Amino acid sequence: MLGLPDALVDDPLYEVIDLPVHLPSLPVLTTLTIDLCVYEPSPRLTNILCGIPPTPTLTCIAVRCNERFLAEYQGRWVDIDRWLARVAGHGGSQGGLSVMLINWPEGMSV
Amino acid sequence: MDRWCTNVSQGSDGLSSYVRHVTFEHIASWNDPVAPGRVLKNLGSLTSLRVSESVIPNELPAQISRGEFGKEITILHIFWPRCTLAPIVSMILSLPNLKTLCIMGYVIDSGGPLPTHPVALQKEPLDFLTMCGDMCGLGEALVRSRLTSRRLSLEVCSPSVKQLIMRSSETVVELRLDGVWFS
Repeated sequence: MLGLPDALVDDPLYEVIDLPVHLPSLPVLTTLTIDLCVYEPSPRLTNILCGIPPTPTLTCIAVRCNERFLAEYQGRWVDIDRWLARVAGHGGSQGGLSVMLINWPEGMSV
Repeated sequence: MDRWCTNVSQGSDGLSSYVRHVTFEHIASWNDPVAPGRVLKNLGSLTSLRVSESVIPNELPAQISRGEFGKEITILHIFWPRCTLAPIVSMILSLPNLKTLCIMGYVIDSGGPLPTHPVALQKEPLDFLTMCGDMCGLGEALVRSRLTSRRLSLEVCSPSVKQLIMRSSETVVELRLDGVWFS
């Protein structure tokens, strides 16, 4: 059972609920869409994502920015990067894994 | 409303033969709580029901459970309901062939004990379950009722998001997480 990355340190301004998250395997999951209200994931979303174990059937991850609120980019993406690397590099997303960034403003880097 | 119910029941305007979708919108109360069921059971082609900013009377799921109508309804949308949670849960669990369930809004009062019986007649998982908002125990009630779905769209702030994912872990093909800012 996989837990949270050791280095996941949340901004003290945010509250993280229900640590740790342990989700079961999702053996037929092919598509994961993440909608963000701001340019970075909330601690809880990060928490849930980190609780998803490697999923061999996953072929598409879409990360969509809704721009309903604006906020400064604060680097929480390193946790998502770690999760993506674990999902993609754990023996295997069969047939490859595509990651789409949707509705991100020009010049915004993640 | 009464006249319309009568017209539908008599079939004089032909509505019953072709209406596939009904929306109850901005209905704060029903003078006759049996009226919505009386309308719906005369619509033999009805497959989709939407309740928006309206009351769901307790009589409606009771009528469905008695088999008076609802076997053909596969799509249920509930937006910003103006009732307690109990009739909402009963409504969801009473539809035997539900495939798409979309629930959005807030409910503060559960309205008493929630139905917890398993979805007896639902042999297959839902095709699509969307839940957005805080429904004061709705997610937990759906989990206890063993409701699963192939596609899930969940707001991360929902206290039952993890339980819903876990319940559908064997069936979920598409998962959408709405990462709200204020968790």
